[in-house]
This record gives sequence, C-alpha cells and structure tokens, in this order.
Amino acid sequence: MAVSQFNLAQNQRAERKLLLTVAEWTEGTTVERELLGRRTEDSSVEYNTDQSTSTDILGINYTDINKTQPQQDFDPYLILGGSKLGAKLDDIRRRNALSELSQFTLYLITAYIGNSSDGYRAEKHINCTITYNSLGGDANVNMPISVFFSNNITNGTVNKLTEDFIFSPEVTI
Amino acid sequence: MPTIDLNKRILEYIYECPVVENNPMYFCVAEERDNHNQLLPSREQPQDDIEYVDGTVERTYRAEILMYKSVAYNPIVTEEVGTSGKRIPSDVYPNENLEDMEDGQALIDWIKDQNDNRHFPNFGEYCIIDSVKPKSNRPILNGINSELEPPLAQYSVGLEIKYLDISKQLWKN
Repeated sequence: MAVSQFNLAQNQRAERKLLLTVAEWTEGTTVERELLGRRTEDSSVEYNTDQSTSTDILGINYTDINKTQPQQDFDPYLILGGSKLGAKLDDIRRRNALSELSQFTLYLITAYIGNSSDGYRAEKHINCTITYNSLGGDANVNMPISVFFSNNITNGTVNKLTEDFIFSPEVTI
Repeated sequence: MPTIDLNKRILEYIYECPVVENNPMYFCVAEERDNHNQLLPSREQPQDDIEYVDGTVERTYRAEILMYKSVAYNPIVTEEVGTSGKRIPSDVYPNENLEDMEDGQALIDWIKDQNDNRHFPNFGEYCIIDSVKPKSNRPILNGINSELEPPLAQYSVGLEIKYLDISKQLWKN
C-alpha cells in the first residue's frame, strides 16, 4: 500500500478507537490475540526519542535522533473476566517468569488508513515486552501494564478488526 | 443493532422485588394511591459518559422509584406513662409510617442483594452491566400530599445502573 490519505472526511478528527494496539502470543500451539485498552480512558504510544543536539558557530541547532524506544502504558488495566492476556500476565507474575514477558508480538493498527476491503494499515513488532507495573487498586483490581515496542517492524495490513485477522506484509516492488 | 428499551427492562427487573410485585407499578406518570409505585427515569447526561480508547462507553442509568403510602397520624410513643415512669409505646395502633418506610428499605436491601449476586437487568448483548446500586441507604420521604384522601406520603428509592455500552467498538471479539 502506498502512502495513503486518511480515510476521513475533510477536517474530520480520527476517533481514538481507530488506533488499536493488539498483543499476540502463543499458548502451546495456539496463537492468542487481545486488544489492549479495555476500560482505559487515555493511552498513547510514547516514542521516547534519544536525541543529541549540537549548535554551530552561527547559533544554528542540529538535532539528531539516535533511536526511539516506543512504549505505551495502559492504566488502568483491570483484571477482567474473560481477559486472556490478563490471565497470561498474572500467571507470569505468579511464577516470576520474567523472561516470558518478552515474547509478545504487538500490532499497531491505524484503522483510519485503509478500509475493510483493502485492509487497514498496521505495523507488526516482534519480540516485544509487556510488563505489569503494580497490582491492587481501590474498588476493582487493577494491574497497570506497559508495552515496549521492539522496533523490529514489518509493515503491512490486517484484513479485519477481529482477533482472527490476517496480517499481510507490504510487498515492495 | 437492535434497540433495547432500557426502561422496560428496568420495570421487568424491579418487578421481581417482592415488595413491589403485588402492587401497581406506573412509568413516569402515576395515579397517586396507597401502595402505588412509579418508575421515574432521571436525566442521563452524555457528558457523564466515560469513553474508553477501544470505543466502548461507560454510561449510567439513573431512576427514582416512587412509592405512595397512606400516612398515619398516630404517635409512636403515647402520653401514657408506664409503671417505670417512662412513656410507653403505643401498642393500640401499629404505626403505619414505620411499616411503609420498611417497604422502601426492603426495596433498597433487595437492590443491594441483586448487585451482590450479580443478578442484573437484561440490557441486551451490547451492554455489560457493572453494577446496580441504590443511591441512598435509606428511603427518602419526599413529602406528603394531605389534599388526598387518605393523605399520601411519597417515598423515593434511587437506582443507579452502571453499564458498558460496547455497541460502538470497532474490534469484534
């Protein structure tokens, strides 16, 4: 897919639900997926740029971006009935199996680019890390999580917005 | 998506309560008579909605259940003085006002029990109910209409239902 126009009317704002972060992992031989952000009011991908700036003798600044470390926090991340990822993370936490936290694939789907016929633009990051930050809360049990994107990216599209989507990598000619 | 008449579902639900089921129940407008009940939905303000990043919305349905009860003008404690030197409770006339208040209290306790047992009204497949709670721990006496015969007291029991509207989410499970 070439660089696309947003699938939005002129001046129409993209609703937040059009940006989806989906976690994927394997459970035995089964691939599991779950949309992140249930009961979360506000969550953004923070790119955490590492930058260095130099200034020449004319006072002009030159800024280099050395790397980005994309991260997204989900707080609250409530313990919800039926949440497969919540159960997975809680099991890892219980066993303190920390290495298993770095075996996730993350999809960042920008559903404001593309459509249900041609697919929605998505980026796939492999070997990502999801951490639980705390466990507790007030009325409901909350286990806020942070997801760390690996930047090991394959760009492509997903054909639909359900757990059983098919990711098709971009073909460069 | 089929439209669900939430008011109807609430009426069906409230009617399961033993102190309500044997008496006439009205919606919005009631004939004010002894032991008549009325469901009066309160204003549901869209600005109170909580929108989540996945497109789901937490909403609150509020209503008042008004209970009309004839009033008694009998004293709880008579002027008669017992052998102990204290005024003694009237056992000649059972006090109707106390019993009426107990009906309201029974409704509040019933609502609390339903919430504890997660027995909720059926809002259809696109709504997930989080809680059904009374708005106060005691029924409230709104006033007495002494122009009626018999004079009627109006008690109210507030009802608050929090539910998650999942109809607008893009991601389908």
